[in-house]
Formats: sequence, structure tokens, C-alpha cells
Amino acid sequence: MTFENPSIAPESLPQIQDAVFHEHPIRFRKKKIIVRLIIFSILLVAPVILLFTADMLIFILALSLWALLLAFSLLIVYKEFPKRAYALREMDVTYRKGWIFHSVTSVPFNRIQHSEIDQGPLDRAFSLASLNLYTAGGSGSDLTIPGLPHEEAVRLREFVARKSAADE
Amino acid sequence: MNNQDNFNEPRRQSLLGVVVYFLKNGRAMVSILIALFVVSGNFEYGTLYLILALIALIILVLIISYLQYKNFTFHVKDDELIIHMGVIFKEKRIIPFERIQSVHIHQNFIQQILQVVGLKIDSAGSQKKELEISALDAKTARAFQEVLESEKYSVDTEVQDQPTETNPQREELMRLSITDLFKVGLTENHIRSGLLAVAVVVGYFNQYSQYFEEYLKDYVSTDIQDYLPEIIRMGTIVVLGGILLFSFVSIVISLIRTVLRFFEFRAWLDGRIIGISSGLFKKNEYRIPVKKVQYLVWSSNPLRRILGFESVQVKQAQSAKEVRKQIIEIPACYPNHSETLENLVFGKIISQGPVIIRPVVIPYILISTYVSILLAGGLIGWMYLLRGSIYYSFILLIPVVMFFTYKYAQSISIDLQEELLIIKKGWVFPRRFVLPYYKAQSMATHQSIFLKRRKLSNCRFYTASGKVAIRFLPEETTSFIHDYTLFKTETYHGSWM
Repeated sequence: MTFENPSIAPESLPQIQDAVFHEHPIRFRKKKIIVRLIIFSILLVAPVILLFTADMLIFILALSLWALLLAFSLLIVYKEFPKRAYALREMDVTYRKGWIFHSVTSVPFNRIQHSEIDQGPLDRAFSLASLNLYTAGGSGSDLTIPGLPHEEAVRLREFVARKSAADE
Repeated sequence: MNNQDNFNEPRRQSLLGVVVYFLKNGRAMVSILIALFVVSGNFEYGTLYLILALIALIILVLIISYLQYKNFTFHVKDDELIIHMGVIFKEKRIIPFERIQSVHIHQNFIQQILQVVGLKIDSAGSQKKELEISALDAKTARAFQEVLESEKYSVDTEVQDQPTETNPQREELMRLSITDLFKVGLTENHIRSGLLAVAVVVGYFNQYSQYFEEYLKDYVSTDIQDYLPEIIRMGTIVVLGGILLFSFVSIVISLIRTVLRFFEFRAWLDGRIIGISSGLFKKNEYRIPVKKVQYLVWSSNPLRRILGFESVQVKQAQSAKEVRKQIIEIPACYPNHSETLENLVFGKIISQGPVIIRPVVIPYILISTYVSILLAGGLIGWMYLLRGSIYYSFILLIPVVMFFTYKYAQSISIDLQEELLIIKKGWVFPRRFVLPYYKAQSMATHQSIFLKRRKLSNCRFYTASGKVAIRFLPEETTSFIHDYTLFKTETYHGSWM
């Protein structure tokens, strides 16, 4: 082992909190709301069936449960949207997300095995894309950044690919 | 690389591979046979049909096995291992040498009788399961393993090119005598062995229960509810007897498992490759380049502490699916072995560092309180439904669960050294994780809104051999570990595997 590795004082350690975080475009939130509305309109089938088969009381209970879940689900979208952001630094990429369960995940460029851009049909309609970064650490350590403007995702991916190739 | 020429042409395995495949496929047939056997009882001439079906099945499997053998070829071309296989769906697998994680030789009972060995090739990052060449004669297998490994390392800086047969600098690290084996077996985690046995029995019973029930339903009830009052009435005797039987069976199973797994255990060093071999009926030989070791876990228990040894798990880079299945364990490590291992893998003997951090205990206690109240409440409710009276004694569960959780929480500590992250956890079964920072694949910090109120968060350290998590640390500590690990990983210029 001959490489130099000067020790570093804890104060001078580069901190993730200090990095510049980029947020998602507002249309990503719109897309998420539409996805939830679609899911919940399908779920509405259950109360409707109850309307014809069961008591009025049970129908009302089921319908209010449905409405409650919908409201909660939309609340989560609104609450967690501002928490989502990614940061690029010289050597790594970080993504944070989550309101009730918040998480910050960082992947160093020199550990990225390969990267991928994903675009579903709704993504395409909003011109969004998600960037997937894979490491050798299994699914838990892979990083997915959804809701990027498509051209930004492509740019990011090229940047990441260049960075991770340079380290090898 | 004197043997390399042989591997440039596509070649088949030893012809005995047909037998290996046949017996492998045969195992899958057993379920079909049992079903046939049951069905045949309902027909006239059932036995005759059964025998005919059996013969047809055997011929079919024999043909499939032969085709499997015939269509399986492997060769080496341009730094890649190329394998053709498949009976109906033909498949061609190409594995570049630098993707090969490890090449293991193993030998199960049948392969031992047939005098052939299997070669398992694990490639990282691939989602598919590892490749197996089922039947090679030992000499070819070793030569091929040598070819794959020497090719693989010619890419690296440390070139080591040794002739095949002689193994000049094979340095023995440790071997286990029969006495050691006995000690390991007696100090195993018997509770786990016992539960494992119960799980296996229950699993098999469930799988075949429908056939059993067909035969038994006229004579005995298979519904546990019918026996429950009996069991409860006999109470203490049954419980005591059950515990005795359970302990006895558990210890016997521990011993058997240990002997099967670790018979003739030896570990050696071959250049920069750690070799490990063991096994009675199923012989396994692992070769792990030191660089591929991601981290080590020492684990112990009260009995082992008295006898003065620990066991060590070697966590190596593996494709995600293999991580849980293939655990490489050194069952008995005395302090001098541990030091050798530390020197080998981390380049120094580990001593305790100056900075020891402990997680906050309060969340552990709170969570255990909620969980144990739910558990006790559930049990009381269940017994009430079943027997119609309330058993207050279940409330005793609450302090017991809380006590164990408290002891566990207290046992957790983190030693933040300059190059190594050392995590200790476990009260009765203490474990010690030793991770070099630069082996991190990614780092994550998790914080729920409940933890946020207490200014705590969880830290997750992902390696190519699984995740290690530390919970309920002060926010500043978690972010320091997060930042420091990233810093160490990004400034390390060597390779992590």
C-alpha cells in the first residue's frame, strides 16, 4: 500500500448536507397525483359492488374508507414532494426522499456498475424519465432517481457514465 | 497455463454427467411418483399402470439427462468463458473473465461415488443464478479452475502464474481435528437447530399432508384443535418432556450438521487466495482471493466463550441471489487464528480504537414495549376465544421481552477506526462485524418522523456482500459515518474486489 492518504479532520470532511440539491419539476407531482387517481378509481369498484350486494351502512363505511385512503395518499404526495431532491458532487450522487420515512442514499461514482434510463407511458406524456444506477451491492443499494426531465436524465446518465468510467 | 489449449475447443463433461443429471432430475420425480402412487390405488390394475408409468418416466428422464449432457459444452475464447446448454430452449452464456467472482469445486455424495466433481462459477452483478458444470474428473476440474483464475488475474496487477499440480507455496492456516469438530457441534446454537428440524418436518408434512390425510382421515383426526384440550390437561409433564426431547434432538442435529458440514475442515493460503475445504458426504472447496473478501463477522455464544473460540463468516463479493445461500464459515477460530485472519484481510491486528459510539437505548425499549403488549394482548385474546377464560400470566411476557431488548440494545457499540468500521451487537450471541470503509457500495441514512423528533437516525452500509445496519444513532453521528465512508471510498484507488 503506497498510495497517499492524509488523515482528515472531522470538521473539514465534505458533508452531504452542504451539497446543492436539485428538486424535481412540478409536473412530476402532477404525474404522481394522476397515477394515484387512476389506482383509486380502480379501487372504487369495491364500494360500488357493495352498493348492490350489501347494506347501505356497509357501503357508506367502505366508501368513507376509500375516501380516507385517497386523501391520505394525496397528502403523502404533497408532503413528500418537497423532500425529494438529488445532489451531484465531484465523486458521488445522492438522492433523498420520503416524508414519514425519510432516507438519504449516496452512491460513489467509482462503485456504479451500470446505469439505465426508464420511461413509462405516463412518463412519456409528461416528458419525464427515471435514472437507475446499479451497484454490486444488491437491490437495496441501487439508486433510482425518478421524475427527471428526459433531457436532464440523459445528460445526467452521460455524466455518471463518464465519471464511473474515469475511475476504472 | 499448460492446460489452456485443451479448453479452447468446445468440450463436454465427463460421460458420468448423465448419471449426475439423471439423479438430479430424479429427485424432482419423487413428488410425481407419490401422486401417482396415491392415484393408482383407486384403479383396477393400478399397480400395473404404476409400474408402466414408472418405466416410461425413467426412460424419459434418462433421455432428458442424456440430452442435457450432450448439449452442455464449455470453452474459453478471447478472455471469455462460453457455455452452451439447454434441451428444448438452447442457451448460450458468455461470461467475461473479469466478471467471474469465484470458482468453487464441490462434490456431493453421488459425485463422490462416481469420482467426479462439480465446478460452480459465480459471476457478480448477474441476476441469473450461478453456473454449474456438474461432472468433471478432478484433474480437469482443477486445471480448468486454474485456467479461469489465472486468466482472471492476468488483468490485475498482481500476476501470479503457477504451474497447476504442484502448489508450491501452499501455507496451511488451520485444520479442525475430530475433537474440535465435537466442540463446535456441542456449542452450536441448539435452539436454531431444533427449530430448523421442526420447520423441515412441518414443511415436509405440509407438502405431503394431502396424501397422508387421504390414508389417515378414517382413523385419526388431523385437526390440532381436537388434541388441544388433551395437551393442556397433561400440561406440565408434556411441557417438560417436550423440552427434554426438543433439547436432545436439537443437540443431536447440531452434531450431525456440524460433522456433515465441517468434516476434515482445512483452510490454507495459496498466494493471495484463501482456500477452504470441508464436508463429509458433500465436499465443498472454496477459493476466495483476499481482495474479494468484503467483510468478516465473528460470532460467539456463551459456551464458545468458555472454550475460548469464535466462528467467523467470510463475506465475499457475490451476486445478490447467492449471498444468503452460500455462507463461508470458519467454525472454530482461536485468538491466534483470528489474528492471522485479521492480518491477512485487513493488513493488521485489530485492537480497540479510541472512539466508541453507542446507539440510544430509548427507542429500543419503546418498540419492545409496544410489541410485547401487542403480543401478550393477542395471546390472551386468543386463549380467551379458545378456552373462555383469561390467562393473566401472559403479561409476564412484557418485562421478559423488554429485558432482552434492553440487554441487546446495551450490547451494541460502534468502533470508528481510521480504516475500519467495527460494529458489535448481541448479548447472548455477540457478533462483531469488521468492515473496511472502502468496501462500501453505497451509504444510506434513514429517518422516520418519530426518530426525527428525537434527533436520531439509522445508518445503512451496503457492501457487495449484503447490508449492515446500525439503528438509533444521534443525527450527527450518522451523518459523520455517512460522509466519512463516502470520503474513504472515493479516495481509495485500489479495487474493492
